[in-house]
Amino acid sequence: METKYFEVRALQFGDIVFMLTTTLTTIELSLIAIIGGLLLGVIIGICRSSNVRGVNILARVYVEFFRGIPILLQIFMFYYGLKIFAIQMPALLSASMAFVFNVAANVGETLRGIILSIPKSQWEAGACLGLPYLAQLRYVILPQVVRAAIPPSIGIMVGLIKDTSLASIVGFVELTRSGALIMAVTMNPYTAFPFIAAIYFLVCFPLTQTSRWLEKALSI
Amino acid sequence: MRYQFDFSIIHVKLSELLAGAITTLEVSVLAIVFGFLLGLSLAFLRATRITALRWLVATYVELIRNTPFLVQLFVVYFVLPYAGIKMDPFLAGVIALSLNCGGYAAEIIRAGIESIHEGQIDAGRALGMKYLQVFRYVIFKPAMTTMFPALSSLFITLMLGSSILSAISTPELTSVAYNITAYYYRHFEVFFFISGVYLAFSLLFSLVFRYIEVRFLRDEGPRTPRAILAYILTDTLVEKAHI
Repeated sequence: METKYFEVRALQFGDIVFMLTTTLTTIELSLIAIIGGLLLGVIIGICRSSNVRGVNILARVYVEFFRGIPILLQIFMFYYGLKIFAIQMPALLSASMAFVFNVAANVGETLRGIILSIPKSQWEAGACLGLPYLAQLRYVILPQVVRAAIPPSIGIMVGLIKDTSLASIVGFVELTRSGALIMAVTMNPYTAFPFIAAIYFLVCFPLTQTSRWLEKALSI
Repeated sequence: MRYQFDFSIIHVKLSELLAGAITTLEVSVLAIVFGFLLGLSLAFLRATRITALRWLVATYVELIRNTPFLVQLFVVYFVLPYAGIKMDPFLAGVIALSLNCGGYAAEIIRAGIESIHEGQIDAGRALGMKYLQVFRYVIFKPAMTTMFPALSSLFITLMLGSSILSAISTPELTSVAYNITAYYYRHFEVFFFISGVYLAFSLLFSLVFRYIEVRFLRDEGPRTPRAILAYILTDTLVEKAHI
């Protein structure tokens, strides 16, 4: 007679609580990465639209590198790279490293597009009004840049939330990993993964819609 | 730092890595072709007058766009077999990538079609064009020109995303590399090397797409292969040098 070691079971209350807890981990990871990525991305964006050749090329190499190789490999390289240099840090922080650098590349490239799309006449108009350089930047250029940057930034945030699922491959326990763990325990992939997909959808869809709405509402 | 870098492992395992790289190309090209066809059909279904169909397509597109590819891959590979559809990692990978690509492509193609003003079609008809001619010259080519940059960047992202198939052990580049590291503990060296391969692939893909764009979607400009190549390369270099 065949011995049954494992039994297929349905999702239980505990499993659902586990998934919701790991959802918070996913959100935490995304928030750390988006804050770090925006800060670094603004610097990259400014360098990328600068007139100084060396700075510009350096920023471009950075962007090409982080957009030209798979995010999964970036995660691997940070994961094993940090180990090589024996750098110890909390799992949440080391998991978010790759995402920070990746988001920064995307934000930088987006910002470059926006900064270059602002006509030179806007600066000139500021100058005609007698505004000093910093005031032109602060009152004429920045408001336009920020306004144009909000919808694509939300788009980048959605992409980031989806990408954080890849941290599960190096063993970081977040939402997707919890699905795999629950599948291993319940022997039943039927419910875990569709449930996980639904949670991602519930987090991402409102953001996507907001971004779409803002794009329409903020366009001149 | 006590770690000694040792890149000789790349040399030893070159043939395996090469096989993996070829599988990556195969998977990507298959998924691009099927994904584009799926996207095209979805876009046309969405343009029909049947509300239920439109809603169905919209739901599919939103589901694909708002969930991670890894989860979609797991659904295809782990959940579908329970519904009686069994497949090997290669096929599951191609299917998951195509389904994903189709969802994104549908949205891009829809925007491309919507960019064609209805008056244009009437104008084409008024000039005495046949329906097929109208489709080819008034709808397809201009729409394709509009959406080509977005499509090509989608396809490059897809090629890079094929690395995620290593999670279900499709024998592509990342998966092969991962297996090598499991024996030799040379994670950083191997991953560093294949990063270079992916970088080369993404450059290759963008060159190919630029070639197609210049050759087939422009009304004027260079026409011989050599002239097109020269044009693209200087174009890229000039962009590299300034702005």
